[in-house]
Amino acid sequence: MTTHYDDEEQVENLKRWWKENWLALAVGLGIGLAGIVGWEQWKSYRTGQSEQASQIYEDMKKAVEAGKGEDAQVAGDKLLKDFAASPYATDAALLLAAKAVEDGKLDDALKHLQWVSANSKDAGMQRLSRLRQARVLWAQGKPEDALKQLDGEAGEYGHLFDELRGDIKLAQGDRDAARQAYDKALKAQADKPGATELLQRKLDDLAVQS
Amino acid sequence: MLQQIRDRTSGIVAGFIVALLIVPFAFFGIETFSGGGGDPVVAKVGKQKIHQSQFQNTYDQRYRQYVSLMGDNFKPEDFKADDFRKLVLDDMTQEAMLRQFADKAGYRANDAVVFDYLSRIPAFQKEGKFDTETYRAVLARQGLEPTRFEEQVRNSIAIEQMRGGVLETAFITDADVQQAWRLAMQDRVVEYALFDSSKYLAQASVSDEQVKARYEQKKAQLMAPERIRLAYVELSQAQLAQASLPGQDVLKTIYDAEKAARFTTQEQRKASHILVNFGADKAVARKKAEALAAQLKGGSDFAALARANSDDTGSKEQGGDLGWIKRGQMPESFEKELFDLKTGEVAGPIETEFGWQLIRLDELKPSVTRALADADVQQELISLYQNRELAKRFQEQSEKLEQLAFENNASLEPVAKELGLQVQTTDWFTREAGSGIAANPAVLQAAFSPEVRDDNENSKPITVGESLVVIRKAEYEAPRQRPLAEVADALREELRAESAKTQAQAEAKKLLAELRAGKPLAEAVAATGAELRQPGALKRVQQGEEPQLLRAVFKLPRPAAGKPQLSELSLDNGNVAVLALTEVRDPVPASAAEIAQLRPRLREMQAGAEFTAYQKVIGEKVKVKLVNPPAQAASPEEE
Repeated sequence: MTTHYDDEEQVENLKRWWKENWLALAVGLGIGLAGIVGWEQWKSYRTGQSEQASQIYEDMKKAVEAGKGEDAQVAGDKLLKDFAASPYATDAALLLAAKAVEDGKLDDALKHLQWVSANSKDAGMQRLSRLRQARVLWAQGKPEDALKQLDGEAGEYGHLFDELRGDIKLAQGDRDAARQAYDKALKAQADKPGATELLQRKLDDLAVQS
Repeated sequence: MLQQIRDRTSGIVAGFIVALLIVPFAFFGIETFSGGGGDPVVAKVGKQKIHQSQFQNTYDQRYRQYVSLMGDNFKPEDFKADDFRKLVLDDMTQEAMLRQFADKAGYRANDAVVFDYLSRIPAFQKEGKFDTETYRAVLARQGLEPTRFEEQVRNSIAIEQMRGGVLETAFITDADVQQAWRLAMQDRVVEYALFDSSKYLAQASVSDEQVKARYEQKKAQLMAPERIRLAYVELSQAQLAQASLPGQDVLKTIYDAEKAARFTTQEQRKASHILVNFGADKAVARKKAEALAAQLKGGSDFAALARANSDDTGSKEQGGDLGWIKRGQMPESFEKELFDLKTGEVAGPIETEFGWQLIRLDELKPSVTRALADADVQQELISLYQNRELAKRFQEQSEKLEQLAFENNASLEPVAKELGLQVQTTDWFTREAGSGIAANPAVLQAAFSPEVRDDNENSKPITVGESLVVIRKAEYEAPRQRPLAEVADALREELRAESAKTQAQAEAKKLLAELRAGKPLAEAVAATGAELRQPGALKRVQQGEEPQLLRAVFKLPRPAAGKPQLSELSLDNGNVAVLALTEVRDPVPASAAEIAQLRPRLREMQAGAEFTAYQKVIGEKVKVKLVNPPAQAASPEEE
């Protein structure tokens, strides 16, 4: 049990320890606190940035829906310029590209998609943008350039890359290469029938005598 | 050891330790440290853990939603708890995965976006506008905390934004549309010979040995399912004797109890009024109302004054007529005045929530109580009495039924004897369906329950329509091998159909060979028993043609010029076709209007495919791991 004497002794010990160590303790605490405060500030700065970009992106989507192309363009440009590292900038570029395709401005679409390839840090988005670039290039009548986009790592998009490769090869008149590409794309999705009706039609249309 | 710590942590030392401990809590909050002791982890999604309790909460919530969604169609016995559990867990892990990724990628909705989203939800609106009171009330009813709810909304908006980044930005080029168009609108010119296999049935002969061989071969599938016959007693209100006619004293007691509610009409008062809105100045409005009251006293016509002066647009054209009014229909101040008036008298101006009102009582229907001696009242009282007695008796009998059936578990006889019921029996029936009382799903389920089927017990009383039944097993037959004699005819038919089909296929092969040798189709078919069909150009989807045949036609290689593409096809209906595809015609390219029409659906398909792939990319980054699948988690019913 605690006695008065014990307490006295403890306090003495503590005082001595404090004299020897207060500086180290203060410095340690200081560094620790600075680290924590810095981290919290960085987090809240990032959140603030994200929220700003989010707002601009929502405004942009509303402008697109309302058919206000210029407002959308302005909002989009701001995201690309000031928030390039944000996912909203990537999404804005993709949205501008989709809009451009709809308006028949394929060169603009390509430009926006190229921005994604150059700036997005998300591998999934980069590959998606390559796939879409290839589709635009093909629509522009540049099958060779389109095929070049489809070379290289496709990851989870493999079957979509292959299907497009088949489309382009077929348009070039190479039915064998097209069939092989379609076949590969179909086999990659063997586990989900139903999602592949159009692909199956494409392949069937190239059937040869077995 | 704990005692030691407790001893030492007194006085200054304690203060010092507590001060040190406060530092981390000040920055990270308590929740970081409160781990789920005794709450096992069900799944890990990236850095996040999903605990059993979280899973159970979500599961319970989804279960309640599902049950209320299904309503009367919900059948507990058909509910697959394991599948549902898997579904809920999948949704939870997917959601957690997307949320983590969205957060890490930097998606975040700000307050304005959250508010904009909330304000568009009709449930939170009052008169078409977002209303804070309504919002809080709705959340409170669901047991939700606003801050927590808003955080959830914020998260789901972020996820939606991320999904939209792929789904809403997908596009379709004209080249894509044209290709889909070409395939969808393609024509294929075809003619074919159809061998109707039923024509070969007559020649098909099947020996007893063949039947026997087939029986042995598929013996395992030739089982008769288990079936049961039930004995049961049925208790219904209709069987119970009516209680004897009550005496007047009984009727009087019921009459007194029911007088106010059943035999008395409420007093009604027909009223007219003149309304003067408060307007900008209540006192001025009062003056106006008082002036009107004075005019009425002076003998002016109430209806005319109402027409000229009342602010109540609903009644002014009718001279202020409000129709018949019962107590409880009008604001209290109005009602009090009206029900104090004598016919023809005017009260007011009185102040109500609408403004200043002058009220006149036009007519009065006093409250009427029908007398006990009234013949209709007597009749009503008698049937009231008898229905109550019957219900009471049914209730008593039901309780007896349950008790007797339970106490005499091995037979229905004591129940039947005691309650004066007949023991009846059903026909044989299987788990699939029965007739009579066995058509009732609850009876069907009880019949094959272990208690009734295996342990020969009486069931609990089961409600069937208006009645209660208690069932027990009368006869039972386990699944059994059907003997050859029972299935021989069916097997013989099966074998004959197969033989006919084989015959048709052989004929088809012969025809195909002749065609390959260069014989023209019409001539070659004429020599067979087949029917020649020349439907001409076909589309992928075509009325009047077998879908199976169309699918085969559109899978054939393109024919060389002048050389039809030949093929044989066995149809599921037993017939056999020999196809000759003579031409494939691609359509003219789609017009701008046709492109515009096709585009949305193709865009949706493309978007879906792209997002599925993107989601897999996310799955690579934020891994989902099922640690301890909640197989034994109790559903709310079992608690």
